[in-house]
Amino acid sequence: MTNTVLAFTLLLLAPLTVLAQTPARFNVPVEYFTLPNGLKVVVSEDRSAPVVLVEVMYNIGFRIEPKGRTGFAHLFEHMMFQGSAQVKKMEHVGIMQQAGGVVNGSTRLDYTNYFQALPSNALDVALWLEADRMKSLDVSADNLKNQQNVVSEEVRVNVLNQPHGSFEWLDLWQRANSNWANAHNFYGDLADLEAATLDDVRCQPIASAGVRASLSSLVKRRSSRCGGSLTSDGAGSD
Amino acid sequence: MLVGQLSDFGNGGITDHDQDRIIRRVVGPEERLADVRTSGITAAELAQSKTALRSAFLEDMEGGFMPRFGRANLLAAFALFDDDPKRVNTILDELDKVTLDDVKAAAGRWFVSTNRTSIDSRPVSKPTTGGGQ
Repeated sequence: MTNTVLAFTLLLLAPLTVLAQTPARFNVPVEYFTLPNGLKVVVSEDRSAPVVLVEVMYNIGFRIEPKGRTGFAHLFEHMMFQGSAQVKKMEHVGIMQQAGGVVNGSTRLDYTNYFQALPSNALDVALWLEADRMKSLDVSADNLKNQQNVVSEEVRVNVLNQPHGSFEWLDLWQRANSNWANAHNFYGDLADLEAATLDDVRCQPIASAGVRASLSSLVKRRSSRCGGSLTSDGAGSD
Repeated sequence: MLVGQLSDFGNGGITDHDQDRIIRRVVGPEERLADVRTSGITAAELAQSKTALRSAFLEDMEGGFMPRFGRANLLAAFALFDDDPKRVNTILDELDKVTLDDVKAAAGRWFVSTNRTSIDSRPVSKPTTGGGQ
């Protein structure tokens, strides 16, 4: 069972209206609330420039990858750019760029984040794009195969064919740690990446989080089909 | 790789010079860490460290990967993991509370040789097929 797995951060920056004095101590406004569907929302207003930063952080990271599923957290990050019910493949990036924004995502030890900085007048579009892929990611065989190849190539470029590329990904963590969570291949064994199935991706907690949000339920019910998949409560096999 | 295992590097054509260089590189920091474990650091060093961390924190809050990303990401992390995004405004206070004794105690607990991993990574003379090492 998991608790809320989503944190949604909205950093609102509107046109400059007040020239503030240098504060005696660091202090930024923080407005924090939880939507009825369980989504945590943080708003921090900053009027120093007409720019808004929208980030969605999911409680999914390398550490909860089960054995035989190395690299899946990162693979799923890629899947989140492959389109959703209302958004075509990579259209999220295109819309943001056309609005004058920049967009990216990253996978870390304990979270995956998706973020965009853009002119504040395009805020609604960014929220809509994030909402659409949160609830209706297009997990298709074509998209999965495509991203299995993309991620595998990324592994070859950054790790396998990079001078000393193994140091960060295949040597240091493996020698420094003895537990699976901290000592496995985070970028992913090519055989594991190749073995990813549609069910693996559909059962990924980010995908189920979208379903959960739409059902206004915080309780994740793991179907038997998802038994071996990543879980956001740290219950990945050790 | 522990200091006691450095002899493992004696194979595969590594010269005595290489061996000395490796040992210097690993043992040097180890001696410095031993100093911190036994004597701690000076008040000036602690003040300098706090200033550097404060500076890095404030810079991150202004930018990072893209405009204001640092602030947004920390707010999200504090909300997700601590259910308390307002920690963004008090974390510098927590930094200020760190004492010389705290540093010494942390060094004694964590800066020990069994916690250290050191790898000497070098190119192979003939690449293996298919890339990699």
